[in-house]
Amino acid sequence: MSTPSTKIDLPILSMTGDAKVVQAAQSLGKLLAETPEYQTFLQALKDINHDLEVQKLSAKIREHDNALQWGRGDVLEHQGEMTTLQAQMESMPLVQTYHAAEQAFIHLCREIDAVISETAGVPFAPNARKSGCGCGG
Amino acid sequence: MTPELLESARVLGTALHESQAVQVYLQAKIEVETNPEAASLEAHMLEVYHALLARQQNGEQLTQSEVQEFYALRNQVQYHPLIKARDAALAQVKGVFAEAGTEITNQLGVDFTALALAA
Repeated sequence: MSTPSTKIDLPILSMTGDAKVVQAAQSLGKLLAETPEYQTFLQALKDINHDLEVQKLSAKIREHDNALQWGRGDVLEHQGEMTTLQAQMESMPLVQTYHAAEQAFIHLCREIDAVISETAGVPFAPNARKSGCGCGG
Repeated sequence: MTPELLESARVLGTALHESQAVQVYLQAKIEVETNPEAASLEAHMLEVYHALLARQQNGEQLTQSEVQEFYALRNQVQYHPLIKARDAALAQVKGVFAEAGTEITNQLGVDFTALALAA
């Protein structure tokens, strides 16, 4: 006895306009992930996330921030401590390397955004943002 | 930027440009810009907005009637059929663009649009 066949609704295989967009965006994302700018940025991010000194300083900054949020202790004292700790963290070579890598990757993202926007005829990034104001341009 | 990356960005830009959402929006935008009534109404609203904003930023207190008049003008602009159609079309564009942005972000693990807009 044969099993009755179940009818399956198959998706239309021809690519719609939006499917082209999705595929193009995926390809661009993959290429972007292979760039030296992204790889350097990713490595720098991992480095600061795994650094014990950065972790200690971040924890201390969070403690002062929490104290400020809950109204504990002296406001000026907490703010002063936070400024000192942040300056201490920013002076670390590892953090400076991270900021430099981040800036280089941001620069590349901006360049790519400019090319997409120019070709699309509508500004890309401001209108791709999940919330907030985008301009039609 | 490598030629391969440049080409890939152009391919995405072209796909977006050819999408129905962008085509409808660009047409709706032209219709607003070429309609004297809609264009002047919107230009007037922006002019009033910037003038009020400048006064407010200079510490001046705006009167209730000035604010009410501005809201009335803004409503007039928002409900103009051509402007309304353009704004609705832009909302569709944002949906398509957001999807594209999410696809790029998914490949990277960091928010592409946020980085592209970072100060």
